[in-house]
Amino acid sequence: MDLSPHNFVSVNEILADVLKIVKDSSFKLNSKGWYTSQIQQALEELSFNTFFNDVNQSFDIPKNLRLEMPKGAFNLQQVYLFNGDECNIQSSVNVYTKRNFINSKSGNGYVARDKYYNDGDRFHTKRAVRDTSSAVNGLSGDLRGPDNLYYCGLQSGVIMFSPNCRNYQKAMLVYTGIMADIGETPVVPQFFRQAVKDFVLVPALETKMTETVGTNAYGHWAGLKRSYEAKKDQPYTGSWFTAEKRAKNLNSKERQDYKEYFTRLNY
Amino acid sequence: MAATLLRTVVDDLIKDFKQIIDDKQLQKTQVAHWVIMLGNRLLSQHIGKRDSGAYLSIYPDVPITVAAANDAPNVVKGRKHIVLPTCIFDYNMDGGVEYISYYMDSDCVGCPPKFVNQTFTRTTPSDVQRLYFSKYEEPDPKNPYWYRAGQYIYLLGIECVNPKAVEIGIYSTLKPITDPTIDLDAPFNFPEELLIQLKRQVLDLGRFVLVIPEERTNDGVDSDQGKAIPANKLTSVNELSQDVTENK
Repeated sequence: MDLSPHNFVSVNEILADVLKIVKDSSFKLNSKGWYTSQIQQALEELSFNTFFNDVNQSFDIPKNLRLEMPKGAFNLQQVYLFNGDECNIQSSVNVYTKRNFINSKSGNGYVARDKYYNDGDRFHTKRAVRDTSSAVNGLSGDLRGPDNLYYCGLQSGVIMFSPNCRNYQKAMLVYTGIMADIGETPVVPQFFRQAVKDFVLVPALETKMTETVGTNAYGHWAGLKRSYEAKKDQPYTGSWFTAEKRAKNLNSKERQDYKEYFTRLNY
Repeated sequence: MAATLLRTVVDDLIKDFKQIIDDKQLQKTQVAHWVIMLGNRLLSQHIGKRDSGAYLSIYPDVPITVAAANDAPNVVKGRKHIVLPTCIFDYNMDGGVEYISYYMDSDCVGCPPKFVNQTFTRTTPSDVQRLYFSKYEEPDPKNPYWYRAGQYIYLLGIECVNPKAVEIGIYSTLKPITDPTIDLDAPFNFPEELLIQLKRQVLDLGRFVLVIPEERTNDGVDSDQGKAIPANKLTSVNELSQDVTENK
């Protein structure tokens, strides 16, 4: 997301607009916490729909080679191993995903459909290399996977590393983050402001409708709710669609650079 | 600001009553009670219809207390609460309380006024459970709640902080005639434009009250023969609330 950290809108800014429309400035109908929760849910939905919030975070390689994805993380994009620390990365490697890879709870040994040394498997060929260091008395060494290939599997939010990942101290995960996880105070990117406002207005107006069931005011609030729902969900011009479009159109530099790389063709 | 006095209203009514029924003993306190009784009804309707601060009463320093022992009904040991400073109109969703807020003492420059610092949200004892289901809604010092039980207002979310008092804005009823501080010569806190309505309703009530005893006199006769039938039409309660000239 390429947006200045100064261009965020606070919860209060959103509420200043929303409360006036639902006539609940004194928080008599819903508490401020309730409105804040709706704002968080709006950002949550936008995060899931647009993947606009890229985050990276580093962790020590766990002893059992199993690392839980951090809270608020989804859509793992990259995994790197490195030595040193975040301020001074000395050496690093990419970690590849290996399908069906599940390591043991202690990190020693693993199962996978293809283990490189596939003795007797008629479908997966033996592709292991000889470990010359283990050669004794002129006999060839053990068969094992390539040393310079680091890989991991992912299951139920747990990243499982291959045994040789112990050669590195830290793992860096790049993932998509939920903009404001449950319990955090949400801050809204300015380009999402209208979408978040409309998103919050719909349930807020629904509570108004619940409150006024059986009264003359019900029709007023129901009409208003329909209006804001339409404003939000209108195809191509609705605030939600616009927000998604904006999120996908961001990062112009990245797009222009790619265009240049792809069109120059090594000339 | 010059305003009509309660004494003016009461004296005016007594004078009118005396012109109609001069042989009745009418106490000033009784007429004042009628004025307050019907005044409360009109005032509550007036406030309910208008978004106005004309009848909002603000009490800036209502002390927070904690009861040392249970005292049924409504006093619960160990819970922070305040006592309503006066009687309030019992509107839907405790609408008689306009706001409650608290603040901690601080020398904050350029901050919003103290009374908007932390505003309490209304809830009910049975709704509180749901609040704890959401991290954003659970009561805490930045998201405090109140609920009412009779004359007590219980405060939630400020268990771990110790404000000494809260500010409260309420819609008070008119002081009852039994209130020792009531003053006939104090301005009558009532919408001027509704005084005519109030007078009309008190006159109707008075006429009703003064006529009834004659009709119900127990003279030892077991027959209604020869008794006068009341000639005056008594207006219904619903008609009383309308300012219709043909309402006779």
